[in-house]
Amino acid sequence: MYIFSNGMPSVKKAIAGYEPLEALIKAPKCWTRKRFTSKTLVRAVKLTATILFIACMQVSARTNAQRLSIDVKNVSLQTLFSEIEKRTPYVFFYDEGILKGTRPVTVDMRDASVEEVLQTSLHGQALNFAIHDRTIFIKKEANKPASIATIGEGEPPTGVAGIVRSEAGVPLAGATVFIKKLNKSGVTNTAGEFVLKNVPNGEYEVEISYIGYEAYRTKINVVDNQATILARLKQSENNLDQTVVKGYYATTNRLNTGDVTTIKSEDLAKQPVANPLAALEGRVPGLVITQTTGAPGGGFKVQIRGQNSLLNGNDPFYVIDGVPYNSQIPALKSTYKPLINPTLQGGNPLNFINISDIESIVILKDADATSIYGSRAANGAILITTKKGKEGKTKIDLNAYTGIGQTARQLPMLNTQQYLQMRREAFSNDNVQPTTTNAPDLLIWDTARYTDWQKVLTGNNAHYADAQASISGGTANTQYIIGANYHRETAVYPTIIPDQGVDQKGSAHLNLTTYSNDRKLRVTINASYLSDLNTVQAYDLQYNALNLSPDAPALYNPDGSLNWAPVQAGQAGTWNNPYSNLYQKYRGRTSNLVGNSVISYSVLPGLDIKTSLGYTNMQTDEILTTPSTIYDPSYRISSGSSQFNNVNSHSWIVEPEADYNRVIGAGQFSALVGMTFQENNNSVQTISASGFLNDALLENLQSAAAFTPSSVSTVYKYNAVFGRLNYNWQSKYIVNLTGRHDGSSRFGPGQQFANFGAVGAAWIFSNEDFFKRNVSFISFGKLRGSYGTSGNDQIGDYRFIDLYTTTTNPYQGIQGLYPNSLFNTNLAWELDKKIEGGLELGLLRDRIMINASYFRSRSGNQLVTAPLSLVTGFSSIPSNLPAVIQNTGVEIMVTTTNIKSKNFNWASSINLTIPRNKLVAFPNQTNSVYANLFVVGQPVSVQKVYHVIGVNDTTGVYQFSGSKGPTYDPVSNVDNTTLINTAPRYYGGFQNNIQYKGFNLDFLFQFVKQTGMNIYTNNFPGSMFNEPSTVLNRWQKQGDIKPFQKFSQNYSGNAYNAFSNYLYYSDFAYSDASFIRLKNVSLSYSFPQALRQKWHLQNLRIFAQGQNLLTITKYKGIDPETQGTTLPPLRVWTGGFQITL
Amino acid sequence: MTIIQTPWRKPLIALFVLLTFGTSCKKFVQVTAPPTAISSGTVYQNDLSSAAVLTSIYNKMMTNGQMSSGSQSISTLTGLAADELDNYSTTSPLFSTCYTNSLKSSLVYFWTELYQRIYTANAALEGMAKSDAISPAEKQQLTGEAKFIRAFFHFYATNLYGNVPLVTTTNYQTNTTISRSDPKQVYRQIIADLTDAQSLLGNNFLTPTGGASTPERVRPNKGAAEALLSRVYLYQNMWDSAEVEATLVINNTSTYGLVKNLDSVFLANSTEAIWQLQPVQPGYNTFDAYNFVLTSQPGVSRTPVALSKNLLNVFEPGDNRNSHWTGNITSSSKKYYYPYKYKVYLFNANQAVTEYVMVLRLAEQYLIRAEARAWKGNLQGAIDDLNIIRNRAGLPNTTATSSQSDVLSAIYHERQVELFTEWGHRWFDLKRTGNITAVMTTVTPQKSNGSNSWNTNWTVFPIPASETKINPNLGQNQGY
Repeated sequence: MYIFSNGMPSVKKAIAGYEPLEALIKAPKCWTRKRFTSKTLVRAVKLTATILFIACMQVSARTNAQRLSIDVKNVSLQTLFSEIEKRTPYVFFYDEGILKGTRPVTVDMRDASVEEVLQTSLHGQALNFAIHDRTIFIKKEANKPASIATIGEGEPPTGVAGIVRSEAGVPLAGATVFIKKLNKSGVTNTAGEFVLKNVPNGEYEVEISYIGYEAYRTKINVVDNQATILARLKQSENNLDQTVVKGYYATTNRLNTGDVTTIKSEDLAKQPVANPLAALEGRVPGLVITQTTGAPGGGFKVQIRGQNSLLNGNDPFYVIDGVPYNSQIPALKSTYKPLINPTLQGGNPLNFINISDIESIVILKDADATSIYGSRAANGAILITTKKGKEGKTKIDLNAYTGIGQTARQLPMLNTQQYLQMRREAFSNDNVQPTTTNAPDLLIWDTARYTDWQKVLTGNNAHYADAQASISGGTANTQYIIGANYHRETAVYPTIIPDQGVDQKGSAHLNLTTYSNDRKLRVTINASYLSDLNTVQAYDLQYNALNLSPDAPALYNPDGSLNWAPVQAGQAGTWNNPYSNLYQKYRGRTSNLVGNSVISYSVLPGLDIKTSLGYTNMQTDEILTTPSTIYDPSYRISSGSSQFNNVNSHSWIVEPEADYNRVIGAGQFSALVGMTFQENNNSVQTISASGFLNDALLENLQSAAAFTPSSVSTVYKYNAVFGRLNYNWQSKYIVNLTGRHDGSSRFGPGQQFANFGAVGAAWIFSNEDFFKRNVSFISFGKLRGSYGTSGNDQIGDYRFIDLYTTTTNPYQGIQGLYPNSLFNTNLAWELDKKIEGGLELGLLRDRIMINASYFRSRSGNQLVTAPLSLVTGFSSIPSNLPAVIQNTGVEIMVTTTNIKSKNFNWASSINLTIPRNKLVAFPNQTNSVYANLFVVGQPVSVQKVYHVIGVNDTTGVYQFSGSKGPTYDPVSNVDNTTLINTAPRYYGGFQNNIQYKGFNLDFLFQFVKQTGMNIYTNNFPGSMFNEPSTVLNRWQKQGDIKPFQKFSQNYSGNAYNAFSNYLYYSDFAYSDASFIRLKNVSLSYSFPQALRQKWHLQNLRIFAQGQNLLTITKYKGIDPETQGTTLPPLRVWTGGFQITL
Repeated sequence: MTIIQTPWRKPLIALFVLLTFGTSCKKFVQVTAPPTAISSGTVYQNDLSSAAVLTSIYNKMMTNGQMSSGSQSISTLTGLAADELDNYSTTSPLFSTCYTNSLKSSLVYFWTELYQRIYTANAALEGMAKSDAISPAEKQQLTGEAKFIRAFFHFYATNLYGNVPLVTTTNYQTNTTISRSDPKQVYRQIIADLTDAQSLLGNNFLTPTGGASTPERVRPNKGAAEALLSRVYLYQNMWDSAEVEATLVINNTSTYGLVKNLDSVFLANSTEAIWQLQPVQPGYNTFDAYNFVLTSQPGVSRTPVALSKNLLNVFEPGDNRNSHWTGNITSSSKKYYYPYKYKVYLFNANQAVTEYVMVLRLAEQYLIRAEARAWKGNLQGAIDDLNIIRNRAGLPNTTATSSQSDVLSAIYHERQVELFTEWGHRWFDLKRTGNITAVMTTVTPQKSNGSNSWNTNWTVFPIPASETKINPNLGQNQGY
């Protein structure tokens, strides 16, 4: 039981004493007999006219429950009672005299019970009520229990009191109640109750506001220093009032002082992708996401606001429901790809999060938003919040889709005739006679063959299937959601072994929130579990698709065995049959659990303490079997081998925390203080086994003859104290201070701890009276700015300790110990200073929203693995460099509601980011190992390359500009003076949403302006590899002026020298890799309500979706996003339906 | 005002509780070495783990792709650079540029391994010097091994690259900006290290665990130090010392003796072995066998190299080394020859390891002593030593007895056919005897179809460009 500190009982208790209301109702007989039988009861039915009666009452359409809606202002209790009598079967019994001196009431309740209405209106009136059958007894409050009496006996309850609830009836704790005229305000407790004391009699306007809800305004008339308000707040549909989660606290877009972008589940649901990162591409200003392969389960590169760190550690900080999540799958060594399947490009931990469980993804960018994460958020933070249950009727949601994917683009390659011409010309240019050794493609293979390898190796259809179901609902005190999902996706490679080339995920999600009856204790439990089975072919055939000779031999011999096209029977083959790789069997099983629980308790009004507990466990078991039959038989390899890989990563986190909210003056003050204890344990174990008895036993370690194990196990511990102070003065001036004192086990003694902090401020100038009076077309205007620091500790564990590790195989029967790497006891934090200014405008009643920011971040004390001369025994050492990298940029996001009508809606959103990266300072660079790697004043992504003048018309070889004139052999570190920047120059997205009746069309274009490495450095034209057909534009004879040099097959000639040593490092290797991509199209149709009702469905929707449908680019290669020769992101078409029961 | 009148006291108490909770913070974030590794302080507290540091050096030498054995070994690459091997690779720039004597500084091959091994040896020396916990006998043995290793790798560094950094500490700050030293200076350190090793090491071969004697000749002992020392003196034209050291090894007949059967010379623990390395990759014997033995025409088979005519033509008729140490295969009606000193080439995880990689062997000591004696004028002594090697190969005594230069030529010839494709002997011999220009002027154009001619700059390999970039003090060898 709760008592206000001035001794006044809460609304409910004041009426019911300290007994629960239910108990009181159950014992009406005794109560009635004692108090009412001897008195003259007056049945009051007459209406008393009142001055301010604006009542509008109606009994709810439903008859089974006595609920009513009521909106009356300043009416007498008598009037209220009679109105209730008119609308309900109830009758009132009371002593007329007891209503003397009661004050008028204001009640605004919809769909409320009679009890609720009475509780509200009798609050503070020293009256009680009891309901017996259809009779309501009103009596004077009496027999106060001793506990209350001692505190408040005799003292008339004075003040303006009330309850604040949501439309759904959930009490809103922490809502602000403000009487402007008196500059007086208060905050609701966990039950949504408030009392403002010492209010002089009179008429006032009261404003009640709560995050995410429309402000509630009402007039009250305070009589005898008392008034009652019952407010139901409407959830705001304006984007400005949407909740913004900033880690340990939340605010709204309107009141936010920092730079945060939120992507909602609606946008995620429009995209048939398995990894949430893929769904963010093009949608978030300042965020660059690059998919590194089109294979299911593959890797991603993520960068928020440019490259902050010189050489490594540019990953943002991921948090799922408050629990930090790995940005990379742990690897055996930092240089290794963590997954043994090379096609997956290392994979990505977010592949093991079910996208349909996600409610929102929040990207934190500036210091104001990131400093509370301290050392880990220098590269920004990505917060993922999973879906929560909502109070209301039980809802069952089913969603399913299926579809296909394909490689979107094929590169025009040489056909057999052109290829043979190239090869013969190469030999003739080199004056070399083709032999069976150097030219099996000309002398041994059937030169009449032609195979389109792109079609054969990556031209298949990938298949997608996805089904999800969820059930959710709850009462005011307990809400839940349980969801399950199945997703299946195949690769575009040919499948030889059954069940290979598939990625399947099954997942379950649970969220449960429960409150104690007094709503002071809240317990939330979240758990997501996903199990993934990936059997994608362990060899990316895209590479072969682009370089196999078009006259390469048939894949199989007539007898069904792999064809190796040997020089003569029994001897070695003349090519690497690409299908041999497909006989390797890969199976990667990952199970991922992310669980957290938050227990919070409201100690005092405004003061909550809570503890967040989190646990993650990701376990990957991989096996890659290599049967002996995949080898050229002439190698006489009689036994197969297997590789087993086991990655285990588990972490726990405990974060005790205290939140405090109170009103100071005319503003709201919030404070937060908390601590973090976190431990991550990662271990990776790999066993290579060989000498298996039989290829059928490759998955059984016991049948192997020899083993090479390796294992790494690391512990990362992290500890911090963090806090936040926020003051919001009348929603005009907002100041937000955040800070963190951080300690990481990645640094040596004395260097472990550091402080980070930020200040953010906002001025909502549109709330200024002078502005409201003078500028009408601007409905919202905010200026905000922030400055602060954050850090980076992504250097790897134990880099300050001198560690020795064991060799992989024994020598003389025992293992050796060798120094692992160089160590540095002085390692310390990389420090990032961020400054930001932003302007947010809402025009024409917020139909046009403009959000523009300018940011600058400077990171210094760079944590690097500094390159060292190999003479030191190692190639690098972890260290801090005084270099300073600056990222500046402008981000603009414009959201418009172009048309809004009953049947037709059209909204657009465009975002644009113009980033600039610059190496600001690098003391002593010329004497350092970085002398030739970076240029002060230029972006760190800049490459110093040679400039190709063209092909020498006499020699037919590329010429580079050199200090001594044109040369085919430029001097390294001297002649490479041309600068090429591969970072995007600008990028963004353009999204449209068009709604016509039940139809909804949504499409997103992503655009990137950049320079990238083209395909021309892939293979030496003239050698035994296929080439893009553009190389035909080559030098052939003296006097030819052509872009491509002569064909040659001589690996020690000038042509190869120019190609391999210099072309790769020249401006010829780079060209425009800008693109505009129709990233996503989603078309859906929701069946009209009439039909849905007939079918007893809350919602029925069918949809078609597409991903990467169209790419406009001048890029010279297979795909401007992935570049290189890995499988690009697929073009995907899907169709499906959604039913809500 | 609100009815909340609670003073600030309570939240402050909560904060206070939180902060006292936090006094254990410093301890919380302290970590010790992970379960899968060990810190240097712990390594040198123990005989076993100290010995394991030296073991790791031999172990790493036997990992594929290293200079000791296999596709990128000194034997293969200098064999291509000299006149021992022909290249059939159409795709490996390393092989083609080595072969045509047109190496590029963009390729890094031996450099990494040389200095990694030197680092480990230096780390072991420094770690053991600081520790009192290792038993004196073990410390003596391991210090000897570490000094031997440091000398061994400096020897190859200077012979491959000419002027090289002389590294005797683990200090990365000085080593990353170090300048290169003259070979004379490098040799001074090599001799000092080897002399130390000679006095520290014993005659027995030892186990890695506690100094017991073993028949496994896979850790360097006193004999190994003497054998390398004799070679170093020979390369320095210090004939007396070379003879003395070689004699020490040769006279140790209870341990070392020539193996009669040529097919048994390279077997594990053959009595001819002074120091061998044990294969560590499961399923493999030596990578020399795996990479040299042809099963098809070279370039199509797993190796792109075959023995060159220049070598095959110098075998005298009846030389058993030609029949026992070379093999051949016919493909597309062409015959290809390959080095067949190591014979177990198949990969089979179930097979026993019967061949070890020979690093130092007795036959070389006879040839060193023969050469040293010849230079000193002791022609008969030289001829005696030479004939021991010839007779073992089934050849009669040498007929070149008339003059010092005849005897020396005979010895050089014998070295060519005895030590072919072993540890770069041919390439180094050509260099140190001054014959390189005479030989390569003919051979280089042959190998490159006439497009390259010999240039004396090519007697040393280029310093990797990535290294000169990082450490400008290194400089580059002339001509690269």
